[in-house]
Amino acid sequence: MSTAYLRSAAVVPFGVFPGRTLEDLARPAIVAAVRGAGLTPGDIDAVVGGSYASGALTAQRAVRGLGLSARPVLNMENACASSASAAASAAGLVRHGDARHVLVLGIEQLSRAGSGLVPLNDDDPDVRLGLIMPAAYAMRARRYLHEFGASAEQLASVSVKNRRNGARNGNARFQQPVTADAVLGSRMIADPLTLLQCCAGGDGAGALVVSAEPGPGPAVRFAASAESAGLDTSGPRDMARSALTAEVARRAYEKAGIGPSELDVIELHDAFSISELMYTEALGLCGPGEAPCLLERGDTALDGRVAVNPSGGLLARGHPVGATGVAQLAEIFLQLRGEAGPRQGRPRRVGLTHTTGGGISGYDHAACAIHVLVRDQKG
Amino acid sequence: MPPRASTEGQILLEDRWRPGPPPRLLACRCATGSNATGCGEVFFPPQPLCPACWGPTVTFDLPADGTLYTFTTVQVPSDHAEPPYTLGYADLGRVRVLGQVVGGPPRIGAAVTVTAITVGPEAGHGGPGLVYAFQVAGP
Repeated sequence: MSTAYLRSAAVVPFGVFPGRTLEDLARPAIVAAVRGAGLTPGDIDAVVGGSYASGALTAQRAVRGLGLSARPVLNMENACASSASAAASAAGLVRHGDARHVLVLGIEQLSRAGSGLVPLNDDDPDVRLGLIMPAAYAMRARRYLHEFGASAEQLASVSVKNRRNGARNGNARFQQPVTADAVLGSRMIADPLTLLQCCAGGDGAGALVVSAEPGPGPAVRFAASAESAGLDTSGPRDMARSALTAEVARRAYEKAGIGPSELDVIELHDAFSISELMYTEALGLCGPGEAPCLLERGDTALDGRVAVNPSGGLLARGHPVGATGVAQLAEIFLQLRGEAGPRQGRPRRVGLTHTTGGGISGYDHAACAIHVLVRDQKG
Repeated sequence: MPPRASTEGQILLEDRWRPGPPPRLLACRCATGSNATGCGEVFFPPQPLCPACWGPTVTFDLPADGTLYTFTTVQVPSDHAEPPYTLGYADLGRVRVLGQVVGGPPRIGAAVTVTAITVGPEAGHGGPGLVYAFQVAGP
C-alpha cells in the first residue's frame, strides 16, 4: 500500500453560467490542477469525475480536447458527495498501485436543469408528498431547537460566520457579508429556515491531482478516506443528530489514527445553517447541543481553534452539487499549505472534509464521504 | 385486502397506505423469523422481502393515532404541492413517517390522527391525488 497525496487543486469561480458549456466551465480548473502538479496530460493515468445532474459522461465531456482520453475515465454519481466519493476512489487507485497520478473532477451545471431546487427523483414517495431539501433540514432544525433549547439567532449565526468567510474567497458565489438581522429577515423558505440559511445551487467546477508522490511545495497526504451510504431504516431515526456522519467520522478517525481534537481546519457540508451545527457535533468537535456555544466562542472562526468552513462553505460558495467535494478538498489543500491568502488563519496541519446528503425515501442521508488530510512535516 | 408492495422492488407512495375508510398506514413484519432468531422486525413501508433475512413478510395496519415528532411549513413551490403546506414526521407505533400535516396549529408532541387529503397539482402524475396526512386535533 502506498500513500496517496493531494498533489494539486484548483477551482473556478462558482456562479450561474447557463450560457457556457460544461467543457468551458471545467477546463480552467483541469489545466490549473495538472500544471500545478508539475505534470503533463500524458502523466495522468486515470480520470475520476463526480457530478449529479449535469447529464451523462460528464468526465469524458470535460476532458475532451485536453489529451486525457484513451485511459480509464470514470463517472461517479453520489448526490452531494459525488466528487468527494470520486476523490476517495482516486486515492484508492493510488494506494493500491493501480495508478500513479489520478485527475479528480467535480463538475456541475445546475443552471441548465431548471428550478432553483436541487432536483430529486420524481417517483420518490417522500418527494411526491412535497418533500424538498429545505423542508427536510427545516424539520431537523425544529427538532434540534426543541431538544437543545437553541435559538433562531444561533442558527442564523452560522450563515453570518460563513458569509463573512466567503467575503474573503474570490471564488465564492456570494462575497457579501450579512448580519444576523438580515439572515432572520430574509424570505422564509421552510420555517425556521430563511433564504440566507439555505445554500444556492448553481454552476461550478474543480479539479485535483491525487498522486503517489507529492509535487512542488508542501506535501499534503490523505491520512484516511471513509464513505458510507446512510442506513435504510424505518425505525424512529433521530433527526436532531446525524448518525451517518458520526459513523463515517468514527471510521475515518480510526483509519487515520487521528482524533477530532487534533483537527485544525474543516470544510463540512453546511447545505443549511442547521447542517453545520449538527455536523460539528457528529464530527466529535463537541457534544450534542453544544455547537452553538462553540460558534459563539469563536472556536470555529477563521482564527479559531478549529476553523470550520474557512472558504465560506456551501452557504457562501454555492453548492453546484457535484463540484462541492472537490471544492472542499481544494480549500483544505490551500489551508494546510498556508496558501489561503486573506482567509488563512494560523498555520494548519490537520484538515478534514465532510460531504453528505441526498434526499431519498428510507435513508437518513444517501451518502457521506470524509477525508482526513495531513501536511507532512518537513525533513 | 391490503395492497401489496411492488414485487419489482420499487416502493411506491401507494404501497404506504390504504385509503379506507378508515385510512390506515401499513407496515410489515418478517414472517419467517421470531424474536428468538433475531428477525420478526417491523418495516415501513411494507416490503416484498424482509430486508434483514429476505424471507416473506406480512402486512399489518399501523395505529391510526400518533404523535408529531417535528414539522415545517413550506413557503416555496415544489413539483407536487402548492405552498404554504406543512410537512411533518409522526410517530405511529414503532415507525416515524413523513406526511402532510393538516388541522390545528402543529406543535412537537401534538396528538395526530391519520386522515386522507387530496393534494395537487400532481405534476406529471395525472392531476390531484389522494394521499394520507396527519390531522392535528383541535385545541
